[in-house]
Amino acid sequence: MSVFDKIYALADQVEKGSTTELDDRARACRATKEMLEDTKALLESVRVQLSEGWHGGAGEAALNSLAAFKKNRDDQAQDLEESAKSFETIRDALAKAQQDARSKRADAQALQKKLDHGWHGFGIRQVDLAVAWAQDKAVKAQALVLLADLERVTTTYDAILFIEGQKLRFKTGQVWELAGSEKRNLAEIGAILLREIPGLLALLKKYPELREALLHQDWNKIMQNPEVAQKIYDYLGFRYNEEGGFFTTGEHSVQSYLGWKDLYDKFGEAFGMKLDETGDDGDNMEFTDPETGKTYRLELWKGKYANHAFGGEVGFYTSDSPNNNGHFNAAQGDDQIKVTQTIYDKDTGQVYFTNDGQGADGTDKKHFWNLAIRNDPDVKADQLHLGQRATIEVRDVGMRDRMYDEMVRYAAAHPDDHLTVTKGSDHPPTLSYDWQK
Amino acid sequence: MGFEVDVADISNAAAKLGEGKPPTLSAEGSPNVGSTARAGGFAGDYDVWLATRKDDLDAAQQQVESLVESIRTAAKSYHGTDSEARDAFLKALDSSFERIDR
Repeated sequence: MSVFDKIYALADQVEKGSTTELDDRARACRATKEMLEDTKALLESVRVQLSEGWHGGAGEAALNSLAAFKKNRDDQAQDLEESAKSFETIRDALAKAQQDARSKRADAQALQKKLDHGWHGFGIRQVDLAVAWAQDKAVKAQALVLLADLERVTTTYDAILFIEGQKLRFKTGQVWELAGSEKRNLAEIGAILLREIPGLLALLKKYPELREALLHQDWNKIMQNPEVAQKIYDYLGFRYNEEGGFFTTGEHSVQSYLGWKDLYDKFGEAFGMKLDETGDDGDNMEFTDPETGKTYRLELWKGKYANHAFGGEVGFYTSDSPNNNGHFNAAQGDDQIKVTQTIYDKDTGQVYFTNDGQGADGTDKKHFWNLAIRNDPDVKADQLHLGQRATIEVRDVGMRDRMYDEMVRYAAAHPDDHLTVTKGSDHPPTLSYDWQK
Repeated sequence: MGFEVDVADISNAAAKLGEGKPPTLSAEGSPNVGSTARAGGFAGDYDVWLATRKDDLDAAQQQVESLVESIRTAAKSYHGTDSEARDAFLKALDSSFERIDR
C-alpha cells in the first residue's frame, strides 16, 4: 500500500462518518428530556395536591417519595442533556476531521498528479529520468508529512470518540482538554518516516537502544545512528560516505528538483537545521554568459543540520535567461562544477572533513551540488564555529572569471560573510574561496 | 367537603399523570462515526448507553404507573363517612409509594 493509498484510506475513515446521524442522536436526547420534564410537572401536581390534603400525621413519607421521583426525572433529563452534548462534541470533531481530511486528500491528489506528471512525457535521456526520479522522492517526502498530519487528525478525533464514548457509557462527566493536540508533532513525523521506510524497522531491531528511542519518539537519538540515518537520508536522496564519515547526495536527489527550501520548509525543523546561507537577503551570487544569455547561480550553505549533524553544501544552478523570476534548474552536463569542499573549525583550523566531489555520477566528480554532512553523537553541532572552504573547477576560464567577479562583488556587499575569493590555475580553470561567516 | 375534595383532586392529578405521554428515546443503533480505530469501541459504548437509558426510561414509566395505581386503589377504598378514612388513605400512599422502585 503506497503512502498515497494510506492517506486516502485514512481520509475515507473519517469522511464516511455522518454528522447528521450524530445530530439526530442529540435531538432525540433533547426530545426525551422534554418528555421527562412534562412527567416531572405532572408528578409535581400530584405532590402539590397531596401536600394540600395532608394536615399532619401520615402522608409525609408519600410526599418524600414523590419528591424523590421528581429528582430522578431531573437526573435523567440532565443525563440526556449531557449525552446530547457528547453527541454534539463528536459531531463537531467529526466535521473538523472531515474538513481536514478533505484538505489533506486534495493536497495528496495534487502531489500525486505532480508525481504522474513527473514521469509522463519524458524521453529516455538519463537526465530526464533523473529529474523524474528526484521529483518522485520529493513528492514521497511531502506525502509522508501529509500522512503524519492526517494521522494526527484521526488520532485527535479518536481521542474525542474515546472520551465521549466513555462519558456516555460511564457518565464520568470529566472534562478533557485536548488543547494543542492538533499541533504537528515532529517526532511523530519521524516515527512515521521510520515506519514507512522499508527495512528501517529491521535496523531498529538490530539496535535495541533505538527501539526505546522510537517508543519515546526521540528523533534526535534515532538520527545519531549513521546506519539508521543513512536509511532515512537514502529515502530522501542522500548517501553516506563511509570513508569520510559524512553524508552527501546523488545528482538525482530531491533537492535537484525542488531545491532546498521546498523540502526543508517541511523537514528542516525536524532535522533541527540552523544554517548559514548565501542569498538569504535576496541578493544571490548570479552571473550571465553574455554570449548565450544563460544565467548561473552559486549558493553556499554551512552549519547545523541536526543536533549532532553538521556540514556544508555548494550548489550550482542554471537558467536559460536572466529573466527567470528566480527559477533555476540544477546545473547539468558541461555546466556542472567539480567542487572540493572542506568543513573546518574556524577558531582552531581543525579540519572535520572534505568532500572531493563524492556523490557525482561516473568518475568526473562533476556535480551541481557538493554536500557533506557528518553525524557525530559526540558533537553538539550548534556549538561548532564552522568555516567552509572550497576549490571550484569550471569548464572554461570565461566562466571562472565571471564566477570570480560575482563572488568578489558579493563578498564586498556582504562584509559580515567574511568571504574571500582567489583565482587558481587556468588549466584547469579554478577558483578557491574561504567562507568564515 | 374537607378531605373528600382533596382525595378527588389527588385522584385527578394522578389520572393526568397516568395519561401523560411516557418518555421514550427515539435514538436507534450506533450513529455512523466513520471507521477510525476507535469507531468500533465507540459503537460498544453507544450500545451500552442506549440500553441503559432505555431501561431507565422503562423503570421511570413503571414508577409512574405504580404511583397512579396506588392512588387509584387508595381512593377507591376511601369512604368519607369513616372517621379513620383520611389517615388510612394517607398511610396507604405512604407504604405503597415506598415500595416503588426508584
